[in-house]
Amino acid sequence: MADHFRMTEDDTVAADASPLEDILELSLLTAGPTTGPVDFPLEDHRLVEP
Amino acid sequence: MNDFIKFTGPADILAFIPHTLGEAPKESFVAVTMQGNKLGATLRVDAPFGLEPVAFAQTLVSYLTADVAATGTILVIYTDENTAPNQRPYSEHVQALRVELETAGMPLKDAWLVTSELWRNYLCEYTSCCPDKPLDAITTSNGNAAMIYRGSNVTGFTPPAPFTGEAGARETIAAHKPDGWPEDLEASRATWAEVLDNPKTLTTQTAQELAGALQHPTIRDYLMTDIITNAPDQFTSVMLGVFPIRPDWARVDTAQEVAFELMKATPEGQRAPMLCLIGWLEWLKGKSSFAARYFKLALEDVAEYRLAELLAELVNRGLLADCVRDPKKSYDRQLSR
Repeated sequence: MADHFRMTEDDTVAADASPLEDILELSLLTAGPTTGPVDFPLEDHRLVEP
Repeated sequence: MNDFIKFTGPADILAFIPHTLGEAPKESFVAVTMQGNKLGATLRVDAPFGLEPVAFAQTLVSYLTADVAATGTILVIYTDENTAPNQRPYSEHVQALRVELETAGMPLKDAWLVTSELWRNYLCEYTSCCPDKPLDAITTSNGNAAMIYRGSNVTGFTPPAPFTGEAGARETIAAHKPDGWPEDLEASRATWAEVLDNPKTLTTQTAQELAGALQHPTIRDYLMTDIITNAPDQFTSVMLGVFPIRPDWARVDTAQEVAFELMKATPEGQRAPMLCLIGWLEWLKGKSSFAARYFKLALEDVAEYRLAELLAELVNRGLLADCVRDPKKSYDRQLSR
């Protein structure tokens, strides 16, 4: 027989909840290690080096 | 507009880097790919202080492989890290990078070291042939002049303008925060769309309405993802930068400008959503360092603001949006020449 389950205040959804934030948080669980910000601006400046 | 800029020496390339990153790097590794004799992608990461060399090198090269046309790589190390005489800083990391770049088919062509006082070749230890050079040689280089002539400026980080709105704005904005009913969402999205299509329609009242709408997390999420109009409907994918299209970058620029305008009408304690929006768009443009600073400002404005915490973590994990890795979809500044 399954245990009884009782909802508590901890299980309620916050009034200002954002599903997007929840998904972001889940995505970060499988993200890689902390590396710091990575800048990678791909711009075509038409630069050549002789 | 179609002429190539010809670089004749390392000072030109060192001058180019701040133009493409938006600021002069500090304590950073910058790798620039070569496509034959043309410069390709520019990548900046934090200097690997305390990081294991091989893992660091593999991570850095994994980003660079986005440039499928790369045939070589130039490395620039910005640091004031002190090392023993006749020893280069981060020498083990550079050696690991040399191996990984060779394996990836984009071997290291040259490397330079830039400190806060001088620059010099990193690979050559002989000062007789590769002497220390002043930083002025970079700013006075032909490459720097050519970039400026094209209309490029190293503007650095743009801080948000202070609140200059009317007294009582805080209460007005709070009153405009929707309850979250579907009709609230649609009304906010309609106002946002109208302002993005024609920013001149932004008035003090619409600014306060939009600032109020952005206080509601779900409506804020929709307004942010509505900037990328031609993406699929799944807004979570859009927020994570996982979408197959090229964003309408003019609309992105407009959205950032509007968000900066909204902040003038929004007092402290209510500015975090706009700062997140601006930072997220910087991230989509491939400028994660700037993005991280906006998220930090958001957290200073509202402590523990959850979206700022999560986006800051996203950026700190080195994640990039799909469009950043594809030259056909990535942000391209509009230069005047």
